[in-house]
Amino acid sequence: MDERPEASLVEDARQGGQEAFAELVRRHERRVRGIALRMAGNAADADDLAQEVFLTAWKAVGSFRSGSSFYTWLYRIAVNTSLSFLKKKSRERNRAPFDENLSGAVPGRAAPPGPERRSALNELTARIDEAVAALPAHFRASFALVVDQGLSHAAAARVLGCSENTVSWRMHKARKLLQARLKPFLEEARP
Amino acid sequence: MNTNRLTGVGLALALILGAFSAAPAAQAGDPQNRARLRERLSDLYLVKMTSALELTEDQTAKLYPVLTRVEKDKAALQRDMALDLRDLRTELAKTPPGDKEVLRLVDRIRQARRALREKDEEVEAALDKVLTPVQKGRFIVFTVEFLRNIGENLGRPRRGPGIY
Amino acid sequence: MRCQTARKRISDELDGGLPAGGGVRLEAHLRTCRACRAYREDLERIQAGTRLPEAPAGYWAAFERKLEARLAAENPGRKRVEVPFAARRRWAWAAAAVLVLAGFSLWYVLPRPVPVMTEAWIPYDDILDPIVRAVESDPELAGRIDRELQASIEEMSPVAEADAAGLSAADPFFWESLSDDELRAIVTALEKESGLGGPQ
Repeated sequence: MDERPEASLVEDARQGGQEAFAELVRRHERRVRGIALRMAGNAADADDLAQEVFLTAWKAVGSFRSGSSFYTWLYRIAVNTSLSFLKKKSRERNRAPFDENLSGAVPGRAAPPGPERRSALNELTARIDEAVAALPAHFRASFALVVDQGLSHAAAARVLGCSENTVSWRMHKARKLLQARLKPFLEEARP
Repeated sequence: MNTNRLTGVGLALALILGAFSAAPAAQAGDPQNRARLRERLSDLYLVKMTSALELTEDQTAKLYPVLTRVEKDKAALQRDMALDLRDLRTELAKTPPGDKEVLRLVDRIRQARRALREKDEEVEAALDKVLTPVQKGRFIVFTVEFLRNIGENLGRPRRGPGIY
Repeated sequence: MRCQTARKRISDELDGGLPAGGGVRLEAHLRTCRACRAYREDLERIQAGTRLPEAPAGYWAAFERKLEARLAAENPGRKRVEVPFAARRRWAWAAAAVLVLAGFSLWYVLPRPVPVMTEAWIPYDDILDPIVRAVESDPELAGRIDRELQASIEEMSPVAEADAAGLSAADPFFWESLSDDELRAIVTALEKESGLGGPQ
């Protein structure tokens, strides 16, 4: 395990140091894949996307200026790679946009049977994942960074290249949509 | 004039010229190898473009994912077009060629060509969102020089349609 | 505080982004508004239920191995690559060889008067005329030499013309016309220019 400071690893990677880059991968792979998983909504696509993010970072690391935040830059690549992937998928499938007026049961799914509390909580978790996966892409990106990765609104804004206020509003809007969509399951799982 | 000796000269000339035969016809070769070469070419293009336009890390973080994605799409289109072209050659070599099949393949190849050009436009649209005015100008010059460089490296006579 | 504002503040609070003093006003509103209290409970439960699954055992080692292999492919071993002899240069050498060989051959085969050394150099026209006649009698040879001359003229063309011709490389059909060797030659040349490859 290479314990050098990140700035040193990044500089080494910029000069073509593959070992240094491999250490950067080890340090950030979980977070990058986490973003990819939340954006893609499934493990297979997330695995490919995560690989692509690191390959892109390797190609582009020469342009990285020391002194900047490497993880902000890497997360930005992760988000943009995911958005580009989703755009392509959306074109291919001609997907219907998230209906913000939707409330109640998820379309096409039967209401869950009267469960024990444990099953209801598991069901809620599964439904949350589905609901987040159905959010508009930019809302999902904010959600992935703030909720999954624990970034502040300011840090997420730096990654997304928007204002802190924009991130704040996207999170508010995303939660409103989720709450509307998940209401029946929240009732079900209520203690 | 000694006719026999002239004939001998002509034969000698033909032999010499035979040693420097015309550029080989395009060979499909191993498709995976070709795909790897195209990918390498795309990577080199990115490196040179980054340098020529002096892209910042913000710009590379925005552009590289899009450009990489588009290049993958183009590779798939190019692969399909190559297969259709091979089928078209096969069909045209038949006696007689089937009109319906020929037209079907011609249509597919034209569509692929259009789709590839649309991908280039997609790249330009992505660049438009991110580049400064000066960088946009540099991009035009860079692209022309890059393509001219390719022509020079090939060593082919620089001609328009009808290139062989 | 209106419910709309309160719900926005609830979202900010969950992310640790509530402005200073905003918490007090929010709590005051929640004390009197059951709907917003229920809304906050829902959001807290959604937040608590949001978690990414852990990757299975052995996953990260496999991920790193796969990535390493792909990165290695991005940086192929530096091997000497033969650059195919460019077609145009081939023709230039061919034409030069033709002229030189023809010159020598004709010098030896053509009958000539007893040399009187009045000039130090063989007159150019004496060499060229028989060559032209020999070439004209062979249409294929004539065509090849024509194309080589055309290429030489184009080489001296102004930059704009070269730019316009180079843009044919922007046509998708152009890439289809290249052989693997030609594609490889382009890649090798670009690698050399970029300092990213080339012979050891």
